[in-house]
Amino acid sequence: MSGEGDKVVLGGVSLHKWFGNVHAVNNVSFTLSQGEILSIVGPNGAGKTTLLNLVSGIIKPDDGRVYVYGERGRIDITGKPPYYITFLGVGRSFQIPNIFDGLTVRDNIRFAVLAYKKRMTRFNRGYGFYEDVEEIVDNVVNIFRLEEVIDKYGSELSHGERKKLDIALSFAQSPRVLLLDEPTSGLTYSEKLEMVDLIKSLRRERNVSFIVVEHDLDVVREVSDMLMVMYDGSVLAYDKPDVVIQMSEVISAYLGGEVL
Amino acid sequence: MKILRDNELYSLVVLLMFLAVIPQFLSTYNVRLLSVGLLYGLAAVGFNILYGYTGLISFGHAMFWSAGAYGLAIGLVKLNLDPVLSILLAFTLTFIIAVVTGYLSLKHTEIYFAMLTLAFAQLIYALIIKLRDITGGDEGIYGIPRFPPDIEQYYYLVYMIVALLVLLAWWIVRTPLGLGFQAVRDNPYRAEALGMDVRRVRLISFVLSAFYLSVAGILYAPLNRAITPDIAFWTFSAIIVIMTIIGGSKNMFGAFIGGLIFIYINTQAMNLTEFWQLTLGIILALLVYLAPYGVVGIFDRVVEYVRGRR
Repeated sequence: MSGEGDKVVLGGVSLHKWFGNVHAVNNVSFTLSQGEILSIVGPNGAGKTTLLNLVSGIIKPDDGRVYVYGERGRIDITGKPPYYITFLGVGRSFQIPNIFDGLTVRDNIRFAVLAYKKRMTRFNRGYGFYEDVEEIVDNVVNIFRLEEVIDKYGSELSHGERKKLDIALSFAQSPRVLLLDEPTSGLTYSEKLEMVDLIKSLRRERNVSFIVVEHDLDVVREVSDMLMVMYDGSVLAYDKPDVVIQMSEVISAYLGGEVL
Repeated sequence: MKILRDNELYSLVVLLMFLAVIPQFLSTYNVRLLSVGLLYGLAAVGFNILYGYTGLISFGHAMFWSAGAYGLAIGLVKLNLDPVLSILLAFTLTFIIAVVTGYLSLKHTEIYFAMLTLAFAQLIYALIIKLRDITGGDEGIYGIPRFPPDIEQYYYLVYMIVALLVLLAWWIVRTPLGLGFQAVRDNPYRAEALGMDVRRVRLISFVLSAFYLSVAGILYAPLNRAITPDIAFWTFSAIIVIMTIIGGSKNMFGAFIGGLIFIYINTQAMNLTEFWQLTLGIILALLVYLAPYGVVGIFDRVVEYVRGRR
């Protein structure tokens, strides 16, 4: 899917972030093409989640830029608020599922669609649950196989269902890029397989690009087009998975097996 | 919590039908009391839009009840306006106060928001006391005309407006806007990340709930024929919070019935003992201990228990 000549959708240039004296993200650059899946691995505290936060606007970088490439050309999103970045087609899921506990699964997804279409408070844009909204909701429910829990409240879901719903909320907003923070952490083996299938099918059928922060190397091997290894805020390796995994043995030896 | 959650509209309609019939069997005194109960219920429902559904607790909602009541009374008694203009005056007053205090208070959330609303409400109270020429100061405003003058007929006027607005509230929280309220309550950060203007939605909820309190105040002034500044004092804001919690803030039925129950407990406690505030305090403490989801929560637990035994 990926490879040379593909349209670039997202790019980070020389990103830096300090937390006090800690250099959490140190000179990280990347490019993401349409339909590409970039995985980021590294030990805890390597700066993976911080990097996602920089891209999705939750925290501002101290240096460097983030760009979204769209129909209107290159747009600088460095330090822009999360909702602005969302509207430009960059969605985000969270390590600890971040959903609406007091709403049913259907209403969770409805909310995401309505917020994206700005139907929540702008009465002049047409008001109510119109068919187009319900159609998108049904579609998302179908893709994420949430039919059985559609009328359950967020608080009643299992961990795996919460994870799926978290990603479904972002997917409901027709993103071109999804940033997933440990999509398989805490999932059972079969749930992991389902998640891998899901990521691959979203890429195949919807041409969604992904940046996936992941601990499970099997998952990484299965889905990635490109693989980045981070350690102490820096990029140790950034290449095709086979190349990196060969290298990583060297790196692991060098760092005492700590990296992967 | 499931039985009433799934049958909330049904429960509301049954309760409203009951309230349509019951005055036929009550004394004038009790019909008057029940009218106040309906207005307390309406106030609790309005407050619950903000508290139960948007997740913001205000300790200043008495200011909107007073804005409605004083607006109408000033229009009718002090300015000799006709009823329609007086109601318009009351609404305008409420709207201005709600937008300004809401905008300023909503710079914060949680306890800081609660404290700001309390501060603004006390400011309004101080204004009512000091602006003696307009508001009557400590003595309030007397001789507010009631139409229709007959208490039972007035009950049905109150009843119709309250029933309409309570059902409207039930509907509003099920529209996209209501979904927005609940999303903000559950997870404001995610709601914002998904592209919603959280402060704007909070302000809409605040103003909407103020409107409900204002209508209750507008209907209360003629019912009582007189108003005094204690409806603007912070203890009345506390009562609005308390009755919503008594009934149960998870849905509109709970809040509505909370208002009715509060009036009943309050009057009974007053009749039975001179230590009525102590009695009320004990009942409230017990309710919070035994029924964290309010009276509606107890009902659900009983039904679940009975079903479980069968």
